This record gives sequence, C-alpha cells and structure tokens, in this order.
Amino acid sequence: MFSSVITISRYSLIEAVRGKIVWIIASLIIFAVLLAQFISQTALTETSQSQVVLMAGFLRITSVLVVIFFVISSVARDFQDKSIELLFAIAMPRYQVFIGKFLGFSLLALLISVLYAILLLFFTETVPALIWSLSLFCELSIVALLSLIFILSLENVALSLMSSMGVYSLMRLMPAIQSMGEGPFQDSLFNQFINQLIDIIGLFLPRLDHFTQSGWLTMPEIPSAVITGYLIEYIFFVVFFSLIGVIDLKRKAI
Amino acid sequence: MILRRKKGHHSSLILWLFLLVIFITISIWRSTFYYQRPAINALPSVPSESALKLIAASDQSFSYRLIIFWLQQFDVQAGQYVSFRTLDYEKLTSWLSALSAYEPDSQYPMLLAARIYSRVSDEKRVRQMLAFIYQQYKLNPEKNWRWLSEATITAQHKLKDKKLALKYATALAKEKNDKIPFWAKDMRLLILEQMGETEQVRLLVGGLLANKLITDENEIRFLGRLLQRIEAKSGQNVKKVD
Repeated sequence: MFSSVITISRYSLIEAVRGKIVWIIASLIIFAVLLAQFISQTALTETSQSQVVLMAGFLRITSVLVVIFFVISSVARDFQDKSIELLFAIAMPRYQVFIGKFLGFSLLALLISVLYAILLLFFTETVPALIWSLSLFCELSIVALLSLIFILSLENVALSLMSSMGVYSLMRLMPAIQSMGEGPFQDSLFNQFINQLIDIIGLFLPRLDHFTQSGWLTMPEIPSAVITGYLIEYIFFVVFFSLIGVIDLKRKAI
Repeated sequence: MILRRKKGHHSSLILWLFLLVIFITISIWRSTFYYQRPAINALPSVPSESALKLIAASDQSFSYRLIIFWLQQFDVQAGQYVSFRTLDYEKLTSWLSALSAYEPDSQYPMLLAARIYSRVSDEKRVRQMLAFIYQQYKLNPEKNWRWLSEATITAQHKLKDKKLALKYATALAKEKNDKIPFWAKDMRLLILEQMGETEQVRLLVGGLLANKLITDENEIRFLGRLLQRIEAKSGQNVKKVD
C-alpha cells in the first residue's frame, strides 16, 4: 500500500518542481523582501514588526492561491491526458490514489513553509517563525485537500477554483460572519434560520482564523494552547475531509 | 504542449506597421484626450464595528498594518502632497481611536497623533489631536504616558497654552503607576515654576520630600535643587522689594 501511495505523492511533487512552481515561490520571496525594504523606508515606528507582519500576510495569501491553482490544474491535466483513468483502472484501491495525491500536495505545502520559515528567520525570532510556518503548512495542506476534493468531484477547473477560494474565505471569515448575524434587529424568523444555518456550516469547517496569524511573529511568547489548538483542528479536519473525498471518489464511474 | 515559432517565418511588414500605428494612436489618445488627473479623495468615515471585525477576522495584525500605512500615506494622493489642513480631523481622530482599540499593544496611532498630525500650523487641529492623546492616556496611562508628555511640551511651546500644559502634566503627576518615570511627573513642577506659582511648587516638593514618597537619590537631588532655585528667586524678589 505504502509504495503505491509514496510513488503517487512523489510524482505529484516532481510535477510541481518541474512545473516551475519553485520559480513562482522564489519570485514571491523576492517580492516579499522588496516589500520589507519598502516598509523599512516608509514606517515611522515599529519598523521590524510592520515588515514581518506585512511580509507574512502577503506570503500566506499568495501561497494559498498558488496551492489552489496548482492542485486544480494538476488534477485537471490528469483528467485531460487520461492518467487519472489509468490509475483508477489498475488494481489499486482508489483511497490510495487519493491519499497519494494528497500527500504529494502536502509535501509541496511543506516545501513552501520551509522556504518561508528560512526567509522569516532573517526578520524575527526562531520560535515564532517556526510556529507560524508549521501553521502555514497545516493551512496549505487543508487548502490542498479541499481543492483536490473539489476538482475530483466537479471535474471543472473554473467551478473548482471558485469553490476552493469561496470555502477558504468562509473558513477564514466564519467568526466575523457569525458575529454580524448576532447583532441587534436580527430576531426575525428568517434571520434566525440563517444564523442557525451559518452555525451548522461553521461546525463542519476548520477555524482557519486560528491558523497562521501574522501577529504571532511579533509576540514575545506564543501560548502553547495556540499551537495545540491548530494542530488538533488540522488532524481532525484532514481525517474528516479525506473521508469525504474517498467516499466521493469511490462512487465515481470511469 | 508548447507551441513553437516556425523557423524562417516572419510576420508581415504590414502587421508590424499596423501595430506601430495603433501604439502611437493609443499613446496620443491617452496623453491628450483621455488622461484625467486622479481626484483627491476626502478621508472616509471609520467603518462600523462589525465591518472592522470582518476585516480583522482573517488576520488581525496584517489588516491593522495595512490600514495604518494607508492612513499614514493619506496625505500623498494623486502624486502630490495634500495639506493636513484639508484633512477632516474629526474623522482622523476616529480612525486613530479605532486603530488604537484594534491593536492595543501598538504605539503607531499615538506616534502619528503626537509627532505628525499635531505638527500642523492650525491651532484648532493641534488641540483636537492633543485632546485625543489625553483621552487615550486616560484609557491606558501605562502605555500612553510618553505621548501625553510630548503633548504637554506641544501645548506649552507650540500653543503657548500653559494652562493646558499644566492640565496634562498634572494628569501625569497624579498617576500612581510606577512605570511613569519621575521626569515625566516632574513636568508639573517645572510648568508651575514657569507660571510663577513658586509657592505651589514649594508646597508640592516639600510635601513629596517630607512624606518620603520619593526614594530615588537623583530625584531627591533634582527636587532639592528646584527648591533651592525657587528659594533663591524669592530671595531676590524680597531684596528687590526692600
């Protein structure tokens, strides 16, 4: 089982590297360094904090987009050249294909996180940089998993892109959306129904607003509850989404 | 699959000429008829609390830094510097106040208030900014005492309003927080001395020394010298009267 999973994941990573995704990451890093330089010239105070916070925010948002685009375009190419059908046709359980793909994309997330951690070490302390990068890995891995589920299920690039970005925004903004619904004058039946619906959706989505906060990089000490919080959330939702993905994949006809 | 160029094939000269003509036409159109100088916008009102929550929800520090830079750069618009006199200081203080609450550990909004927006030559606007600093000091003396001490100096030297300076200096002196250094608390005594309220200074310093509220040797020496200076001054005044 492991050899086939590792082979699929290895080829997914090789595809990322050969597909010049490393160059995109490198250009993002260069842009982030230029941004830091610009901020050092503009900030009137708290220069180092502003540099590291704005760099980290920029890197997080762009890397999420890179992962979504890469996962969806990679699987869409597999659909186009029929290699996914080939994988389904050979004597290999579909869940292995799914896990192999997910592991490959997670390795890409790991590569991105490690590169960003190295960059951030020049601007902040080691421990906050490592905690932030670990969280970024978890966030990118969840995003890759969701994008994989969407493209395998919808088989349409535009729809999958929109869905992945939409769900990502929802995961990041869920508490704000919930708090907006709890304001005064929201007691009509329709509003109550919508609030209930949002709460139910919120139950089954990871709280990404607890992941990869730029503010951690300027904190003297990050509470350990923050790290355990996002790690538990990550493990729980990876298992949950993987099950959804595998069940959906098993139903698919070639 | 990547499409490669055919070897030995060149685009026709007519196409290249056509591209050149279009390029020149667009340049002329944009630079003469179509070009409009970007408008200078007024400072917008602070978004509602829920809108700010929505912005902050994703990544609070990141959005805070973006907003503070946007506000700081607001006087540079459409390639020109916009005078602070044209800024709506009511809205500006609301923005600074909202940003102070948004990221309570940051000193950035207070620095903008004390060193940038209170440097304007319009007295009314300076007073608005100083009032904002005083209000923020009352909310968090430990964090904002140094900005109030700067506001005291601005009130005294820029506005020449010793009463206002004394109000701020008294607020600093009365604060019991140990984090506020003696030099900031002593500003009240110096302003009183400059106002000619020597009797009040003598009483205050005497009270501080007699009650042994001050233990720092340098501070005791400074207050002793202040007392001596006041005594010498009042001695001279007595001689003049004689």
